[in-house]
Amino acid sequence: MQKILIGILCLLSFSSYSQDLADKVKSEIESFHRRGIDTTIIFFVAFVHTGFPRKVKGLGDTIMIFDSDYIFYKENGKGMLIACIDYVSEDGTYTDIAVSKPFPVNCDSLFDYSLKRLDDFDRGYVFPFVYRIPWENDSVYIPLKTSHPSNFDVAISAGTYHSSQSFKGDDFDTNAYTNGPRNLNYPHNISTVTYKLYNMLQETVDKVRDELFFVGTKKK
Amino acid sequence: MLEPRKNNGIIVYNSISNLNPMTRIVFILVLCFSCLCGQAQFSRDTAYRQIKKLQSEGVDTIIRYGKIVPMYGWIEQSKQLGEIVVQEYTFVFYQTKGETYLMRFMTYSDSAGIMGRTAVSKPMKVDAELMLKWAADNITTIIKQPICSHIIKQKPDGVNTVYDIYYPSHTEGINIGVLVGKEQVGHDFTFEDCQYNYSDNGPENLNYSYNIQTSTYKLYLILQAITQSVQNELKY
Repeated sequence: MQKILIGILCLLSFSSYSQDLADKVKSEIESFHRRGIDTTIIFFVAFVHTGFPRKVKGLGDTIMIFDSDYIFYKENGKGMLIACIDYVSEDGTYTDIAVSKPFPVNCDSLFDYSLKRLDDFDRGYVFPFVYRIPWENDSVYIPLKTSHPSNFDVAISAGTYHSSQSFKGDDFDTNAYTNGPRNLNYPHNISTVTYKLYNMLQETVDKVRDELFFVGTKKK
Repeated sequence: MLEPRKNNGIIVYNSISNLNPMTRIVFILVLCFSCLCGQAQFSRDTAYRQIKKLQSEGVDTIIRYGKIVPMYGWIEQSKQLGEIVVQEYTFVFYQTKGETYLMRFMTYSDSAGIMGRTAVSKPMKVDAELMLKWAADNITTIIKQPICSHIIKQKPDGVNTVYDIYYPSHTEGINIGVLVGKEQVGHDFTFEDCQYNYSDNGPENLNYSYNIQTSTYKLYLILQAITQSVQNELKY
C-alpha cells in the first residue's frame, strides 16, 4: 500500500512542478530584485508550432528554439542582457530551458525612450490584424488567423510600475500577403510606443543574439 | 477496494468513510490525479463518438449543435433530474429508417450542487426532416458563410480608427456541425457575434448585418427553436 502511495505522490509531484520558461524568468527577476535592480524591459518572442534550428553557443550547432525571453537591465550603470530560452536539443531527445550569461549591450536609448513614455506605453495597445472583404452590398470584417503566428510581449518594470503589451507579428503588417487584404489597424498600430519599442528591441536582439552563451540543465 | 456488502438484502458499496486511513488517502489521491487528467468537454466528445457510431451504421445526414458558457451555466427544470445547472450540451439530429431523431449530451450540476454530472438522453423522435434536408441542400453555402466575430470600430487615441474584436467575459459559445456523406462543415461562434451591440449604447457590431443573413445563422435559429421546444421532454 505504501508503495502505491509513494508512486501516486511521485506522479502528482511531476505533474505539479514542471518548470517552464515563465518560472525561470520570474526567478531571474527575483534575483535582480535581491541585487537592487528594479528596472527591466522584457521582450518575449514565441513562434507557435515553429522552431528555428540555429547554432547556439554553449548548447550546440542545431538547437531548435521555441520561446525566448530577452531581459534588458542596467547594473552599475551598464546595460546588460540575459536571455531565457525554451529549446529542443540537437538530437531531439529532450527539451530544456537555458539561461544565457549576462551580456553587455548598449541599451541607453531603449531605457531613455521607454521610461519617458510609460503613460503612452500603457495606452499603446496594439489591435489585431483585421481586414475587410466586400459581401453583396455590405462588408465583412475578419480578424486574420494564421497557422503559425509569432507572438510577442513587451513588459516594462520600473520600481512600482509594471505594464506589458502583447501582440502578433502580423499586427504590424500592411497586408496579409503581397497585394492581399489590407490591415485596417495598421495606421494605428505603427503609431504606438509599443511598435517603436518592438523595433528597437528587435534590432538590439538581432545584433547580439549569436553572441550569447547559454547554460542548459537537461531537465526532461 | 470498494467491496460490495449486503444491507437488508440490498447490495451496497462501502462509503469512503468506512475505508482504512491508508486506503482512504490512496483513494483521494487517485481521485485528485483523475481530476488533473480529466476532460471537461464531455458533451462534444461523447456526441462525436455517437456521430461516428451513426455514420458506421449508414446514417449520412447528421447535424450537431452545442453550447457552452465557461464558468457559467443555464438553470433547467428537468422532470427526471430536478433543478439542474447545465454547463454545456450538444444535440445530435439524425435520420434513420425515414424518421428523424434527436439526442442530447450534457454536463450539469445537480440539485445538490454536485458539479460535473453527465447525462445522455434517449433518442427522441422529432419533426425535423425539413431542417435536415435544408441543411443538406445548403451545405455549400453553410461552408462559405461562417459567422464572423463581433467587430467594433473605435478611436482610442482620437486620431486613428481601429477595428477591435469584442471579447465578452461570459458568453455562449455555440458550435454547429453539418455532416452530409463525406462532406462536413463546422462553425464556432458566440452569441454576441449575432448581436447588434453588446450594451444599449455600445458600438455597432460591424458584422451584424452579414452574420444574420448567413445560412449558418438561419440554421442556428431553427436548431434553437426545435431544441428549446423539446428539451424538457427528453428522457435521460
